[in-house]
Amino acid sequence: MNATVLVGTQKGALVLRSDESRARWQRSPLLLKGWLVTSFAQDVSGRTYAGVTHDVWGATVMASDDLENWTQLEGAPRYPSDARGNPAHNRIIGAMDPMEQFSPGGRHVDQIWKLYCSGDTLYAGVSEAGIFRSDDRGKSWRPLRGIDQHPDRDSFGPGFGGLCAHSILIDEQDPQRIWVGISSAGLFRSDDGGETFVSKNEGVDSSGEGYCVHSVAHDPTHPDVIYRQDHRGVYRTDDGGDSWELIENGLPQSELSDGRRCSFGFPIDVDTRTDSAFIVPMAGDSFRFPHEGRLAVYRTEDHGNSWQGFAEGLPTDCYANVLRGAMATDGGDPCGVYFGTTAGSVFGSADRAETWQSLASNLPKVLAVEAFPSR
Amino acid sequence: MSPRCEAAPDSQVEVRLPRVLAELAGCDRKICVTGVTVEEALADLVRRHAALGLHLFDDTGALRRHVLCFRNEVAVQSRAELGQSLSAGDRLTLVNSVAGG
Repeated sequence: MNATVLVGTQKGALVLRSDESRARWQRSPLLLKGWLVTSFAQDVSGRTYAGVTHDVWGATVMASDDLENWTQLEGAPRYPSDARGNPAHNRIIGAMDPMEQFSPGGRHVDQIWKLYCSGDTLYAGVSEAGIFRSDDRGKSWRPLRGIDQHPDRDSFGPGFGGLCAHSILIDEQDPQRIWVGISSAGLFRSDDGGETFVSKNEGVDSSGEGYCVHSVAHDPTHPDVIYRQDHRGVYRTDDGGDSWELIENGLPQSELSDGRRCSFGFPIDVDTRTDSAFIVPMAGDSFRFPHEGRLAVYRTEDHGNSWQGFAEGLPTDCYANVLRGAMATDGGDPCGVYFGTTAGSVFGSADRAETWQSLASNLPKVLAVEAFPSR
Repeated sequence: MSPRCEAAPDSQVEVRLPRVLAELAGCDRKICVTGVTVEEALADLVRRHAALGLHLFDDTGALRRHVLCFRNEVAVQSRAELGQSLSAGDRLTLVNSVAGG
């Protein structure tokens, strides 16, 4: 299978295209130069969308039918000018805003954290946290009411990156069922197309940061089985999030800043053919680099009852992180797995994470990775 | 001296864009627009290139906080100054403020 891997960085995007073996790769010039490229999605027609942002010019969504020429969508997710902002999010964004873009009190879309295509519908998960929906290929957008007007919204606690809706999962058999991950308010599920969302975090450790979900993944055809990488460990649910179980047998444990030991990391992804899951453990929240600098990807093939680490082809002196959006699988058989680091390296595996090769290096910080079978 | 909008009617001025916005909008970095005030000229710019609107103006319709607009060599400092009159041959330059090392 030929694969296409999209890499979003702090200063633009790259397209990597493989041959049939996925052993040899060609790399595009830097695209979308000057923009932080924070997310990608592809719809059933093959149109690709990219979430981009800029410290001064703001956030929007670009689209391309050939991965070379990109056009801004006619509309963009934006809150009404009178929407009230989450107080804690405003404090964090204000404090970390060197350009003083921040407008106290208001609610603004400052980043597109996640794009997700479901049939003809395009969803965008943004910060300040919200999910926007477009049914006309991006001409118009509306926020999902259940997050936008959630009764606990004012008390949602933000993570270090602010209050962001970074994960979206949808039941492809019943698209009324939507899961949304918000740092650090936790995972929420809607059973009514987004009109209402209910917190789904029973069994997850919430001490310290609240429900600091880092990322979630599932097979859309078996939607109730969800894997979850949290600040405080790796979990699985078999009932759509009603209850969660810690699944860390075989995973390296790291010490968090408050002394608790668990498997810390950011991305999680699945191979839908084999129902395997992949994570990249880090040495705790104080360090956010691989254990002893040895970069490794861990895989479970038994729903998290055991994990096995793979490092062949990966560096043994890596002190970079892998961000939540920076890992992807390509749907191939066997499944290809790809990830990028905050030090600007991209790695790929054509054999379900067992062996790795470098696909790119010396890039700006990698923020997003997405992979598809080539068309 | 660089060429301005040629054979311009009285209300035409040139707008210069930063590369990142010109590439995004798929337009030249120098554009002739019409307007008797700075505000009208920028509104005409967005009419011609709608993609620029959300990058220049915030949710309240004001210029984004660190978007700088110069009329010839003088910064337009406030929302009130957007109402100042333009003269034929004036040039508006839009840049992002830059900080850091």
